[in-house]
Amino acid sequence: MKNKFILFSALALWALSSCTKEQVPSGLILKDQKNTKDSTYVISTIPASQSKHILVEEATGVHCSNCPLGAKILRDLKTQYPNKILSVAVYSQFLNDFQAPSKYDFNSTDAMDLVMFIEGKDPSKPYAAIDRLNTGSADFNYFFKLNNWASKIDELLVKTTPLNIELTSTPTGELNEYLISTKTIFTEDWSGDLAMSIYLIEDHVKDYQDSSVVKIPDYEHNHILRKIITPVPGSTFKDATTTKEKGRVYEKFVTFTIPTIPTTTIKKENCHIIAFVHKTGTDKEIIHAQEIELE
Amino acid sequence: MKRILYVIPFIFSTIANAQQGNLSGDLMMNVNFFQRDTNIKASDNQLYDNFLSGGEGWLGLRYSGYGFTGVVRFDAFNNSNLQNPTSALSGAGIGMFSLSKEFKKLTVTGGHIYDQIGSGMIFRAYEDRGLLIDNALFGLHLRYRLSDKLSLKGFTGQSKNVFERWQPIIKGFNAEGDFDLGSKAHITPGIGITNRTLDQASMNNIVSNINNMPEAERFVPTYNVNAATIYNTLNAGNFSWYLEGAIKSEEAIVIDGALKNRNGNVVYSTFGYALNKFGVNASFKRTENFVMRTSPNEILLKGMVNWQPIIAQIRPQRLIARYTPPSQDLSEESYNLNAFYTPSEKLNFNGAYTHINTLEGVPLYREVFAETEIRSVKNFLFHFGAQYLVYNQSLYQQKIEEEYPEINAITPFIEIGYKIDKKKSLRLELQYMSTKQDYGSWAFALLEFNIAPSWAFAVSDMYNVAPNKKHVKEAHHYPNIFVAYTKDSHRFTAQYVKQVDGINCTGGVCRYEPAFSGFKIGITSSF
Repeated sequence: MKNKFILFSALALWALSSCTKEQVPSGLILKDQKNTKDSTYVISTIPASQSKHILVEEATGVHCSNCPLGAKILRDLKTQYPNKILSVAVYSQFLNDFQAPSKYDFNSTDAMDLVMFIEGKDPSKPYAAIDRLNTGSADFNYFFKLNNWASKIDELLVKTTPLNIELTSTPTGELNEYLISTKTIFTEDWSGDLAMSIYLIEDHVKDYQDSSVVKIPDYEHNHILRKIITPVPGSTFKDATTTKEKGRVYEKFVTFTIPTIPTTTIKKENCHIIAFVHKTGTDKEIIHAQEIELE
Repeated sequence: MKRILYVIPFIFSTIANAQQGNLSGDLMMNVNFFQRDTNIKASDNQLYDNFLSGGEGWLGLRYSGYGFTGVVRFDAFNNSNLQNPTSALSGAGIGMFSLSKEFKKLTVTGGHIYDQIGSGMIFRAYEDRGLLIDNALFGLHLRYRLSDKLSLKGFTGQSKNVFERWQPIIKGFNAEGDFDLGSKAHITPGIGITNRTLDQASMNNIVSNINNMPEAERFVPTYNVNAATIYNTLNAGNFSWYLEGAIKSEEAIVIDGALKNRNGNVVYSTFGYALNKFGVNASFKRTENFVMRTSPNEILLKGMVNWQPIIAQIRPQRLIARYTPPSQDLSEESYNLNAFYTPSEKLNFNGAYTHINTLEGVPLYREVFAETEIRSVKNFLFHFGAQYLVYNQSLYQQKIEEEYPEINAITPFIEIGYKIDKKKSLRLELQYMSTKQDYGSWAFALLEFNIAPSWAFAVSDMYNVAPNKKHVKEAHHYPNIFVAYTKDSHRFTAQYVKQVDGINCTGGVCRYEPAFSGFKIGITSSF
């Protein structure tokens, strides 16, 4: 009797655990965002290639004492190499607990979804994904240690881009709603599946920040990731094939509304749009990125 | 007082002896010297062009004592071609270790675990060095004997991948009984359940793949897949019957190169009856979408969590073994019937028929096989037979059907063994495969000379006697010269080998291997 009871209990526990319904995995896109204006065509006059931009997705935190150093290193690199580096500050959960004396909560679901998509976990800070290239390190597959940022960026400076990205941002007339128009023009033949991701970032937000020296009550937080406008894994181009010939153009139009955040109001005048084209699948390499002001 | 003094050393000695442990071990080493041969396409990779040699070794130690059992194995791969026959694997370290303790009917094991549920259809962690399959579960394993007739086991862990682990988590539970039905029958029933939970990185890859699929084909993948099985062996007099049925929940699996969301099921049964000089065995298996892997991102022999029984009979004859049909985990319906008749100790007959289709009715494999063994001539053993084969090469070997139509082959064979004296013996094998498909017809001859208990010599040749010009420019010989020396528990082998490319199967699991040319040295030992 006792044996049968033990056996039945074990089976019942197992059955109960397998009945719990799973949530939809992060980043899954069952239906593509469609805009009827999206189009593709081929042009015969190929424009000059743009200078390639390197995108740095910096995992940072309010309570990360080395992160101000990371931000300074990025600023210095941008000064040293003007018009070559774009950056996004990703305030994912780790070291971003909202607590006094912070006024604003930089934590966002999009930030957490992004690091989970790139790395599968919230990385240490300050670490940065640089063009989402594989680090070859045992620590993190896609996030580089602070010490390696400069050397990696240095290595990427000679790279060119096989495509141009043209971006415009236009208010639609609805409150806080904008139409982002993108045009991706292939200046060289390309083989491989690609997608486009578009971010909304905000600069010049002053709030508390830990540092290794002192606590900074009015630190200027820049390039804060406020919204991932496209799906996290990116949005594929209309009617795209794996092979894109020189002169192939993809026009993509995305409408979005500036999000409402409980602790603050996003200032449109401080906002930028970053759009970038990247590979899909296990290789996530970013091919090229572009940035404009929201207004 | 003196008596006490005499007894004390005796007591200590007894205690010390009772607590002494037992240490045993085994060693296996292979060394390959690659000899470039462009005629048979043993070339154009680093093993043949640059490295020129490679090898692998396993040293296992087992200690039982003080109520514990500890096992550790050191693995080494130096330019080894075992994992991938065209590239080198190098690395060394602890290949497996485990520690077990039994107390009060509970056995606890931590470390690398080899075990299975039922026939292995929902879970099997095992090692097969021929194909470098080693999917030991690294984790915890508990076995509890509820009674003499009922035992339970549970386990959890991650599947081994050479010196690392696949990240998904695997859990399982198994209850197995052992009962008599009256005085003439006996059953061993069992139930088993497993669960696999994906890790986030594996799911990210799956999501990324799904996002790139046409919208109409996308689905919501699950982290968890559950599988359950129920099985029983019935032995009653001359009759035995094994039956197992398993189901699994929906998950993303790869079908025709694309991810699909499917559940799966499999039924497997074997039946045997033997009476005096006659016996018959029948087997059946029906498989539908029963893929069990750590994740759909793993392919070929990687990330396997289970093992499917093979219905076709595995033949030792070299030419026949060239077309062994592996178990299919997506779509298979297979039958095998085997009958034997042994009118005397010196004569036996065996016949078999195997029939395998996909669930859609596409023929995969047919075999009609017959053989007889005659021992009535003093010092001689005669063994001869023949096989008729139909083999769906395009499906089994993933080739274009127009280029590789189904193979129809007839293979007669003869084996003659002659006992020269108490220690020396000779064996001759002759085989001929007649076919117009694939590489065409083959002839095989082997002569083996044994001097018991130490020496074995063999020389053989496989010759493409009537090559199919569509795939082979000219006929080649594939010789093999083999020497083995056994001393006590040590065995040393050396061989010169030219081996044609083809499918290498072991225990129903197969993979393509390119041609091999060179020398092989092997050592096995146990202590």
